[in-house]
Amino acid sequence: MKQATKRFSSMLLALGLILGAGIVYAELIVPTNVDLQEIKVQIAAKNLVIQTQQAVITKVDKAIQDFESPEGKHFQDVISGALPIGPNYAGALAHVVGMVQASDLTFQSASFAESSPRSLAPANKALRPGETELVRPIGSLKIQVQASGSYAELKEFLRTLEQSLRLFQLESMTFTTPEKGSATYTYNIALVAPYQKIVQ
Amino acid sequence: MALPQKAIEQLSREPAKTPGWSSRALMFTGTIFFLSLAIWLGMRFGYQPLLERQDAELQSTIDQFKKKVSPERQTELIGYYSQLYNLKTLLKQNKQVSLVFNWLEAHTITRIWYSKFSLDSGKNQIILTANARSLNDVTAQLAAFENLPEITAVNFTGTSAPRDGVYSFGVTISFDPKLVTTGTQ
Repeated sequence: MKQATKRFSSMLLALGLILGAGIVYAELIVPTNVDLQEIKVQIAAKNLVIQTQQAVITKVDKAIQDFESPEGKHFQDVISGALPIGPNYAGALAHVVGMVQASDLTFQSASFAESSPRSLAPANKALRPGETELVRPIGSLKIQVQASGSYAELKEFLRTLEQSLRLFQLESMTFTTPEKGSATYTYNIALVAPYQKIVQ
Repeated sequence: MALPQKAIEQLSREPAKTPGWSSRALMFTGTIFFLSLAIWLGMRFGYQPLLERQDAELQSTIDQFKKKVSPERQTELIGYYSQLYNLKTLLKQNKQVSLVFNWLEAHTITRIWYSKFSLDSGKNQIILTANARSLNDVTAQLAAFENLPEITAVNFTGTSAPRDGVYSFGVTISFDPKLVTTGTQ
């Protein structure tokens, strides 16, 4: 083979190898590197999730242990007594009548109405897909009580109401002077008994 | 004249290398090509499967976390948390209405008595129909209410001519919510 042909062939071959290296870089190495970076990002994100979740899981485990302990069960009963799950009409009526009678007022009537549920959760946080609202709405049982008795008995009723196991909020109250020669007032008391709404 | 032996040897020897091939250039470019190919093979068939395995292991750990608390238990815990949160918020908002009576008793002058009482705890407002033997007592009571710091507004709705020597007057009092939340008297 002539010297010039050899030189030309070797130059062509060298050029081909350089081009080949360039193609390998652009067509194989760069896309593979992009894939690798994506996987690395996923790994970093999952590591972060695991670190966060481990802390959360530890707290949840502790909460479950507390929740299932005898003290936890007792505490749940107290909480459910103050804010029952569902309206519990029978319990509310028994409570109101019990408080009226315990304060020596004379029970006359009680009417019940339910108002639309409302949420006490902060309104500024938007939920992302897959997230659950942690704070469920509450319902309110409106109870209109009519009872009669002395002023001292009313004050005793209010004291009992404020110390009641179930939470009652006094919304409004009216009373007028009794007829001459009588110390018996008639009280119209509007109470609100909040309860935890059941979410299916 | 015969040629010297050294010259004969030199002339009879073939050149060691065939001139023309640029072996150094070929070596250099070949090395670059095979190196780049080796890098790709390492990334594609060595490093990528390693990272994918790590990713799968992490995903399986996350899945185990998810299974650790069952959906039923999650619902139960969320319900319990809701109860606690709502109760705490309601207790913060709760008003001790009996304090209104204590406050009213403390700030009513002795010659005044009430014939009608209406309380709206949402508006923090009391509407009273009160009675007095003289107009001086009426003005004294109104002045007493107006000078109290826990009263945000006093609205005097008027008085009537005395009946059986008793003046009846109406007053609407708006009070500071602290009166029923902190027990200000």
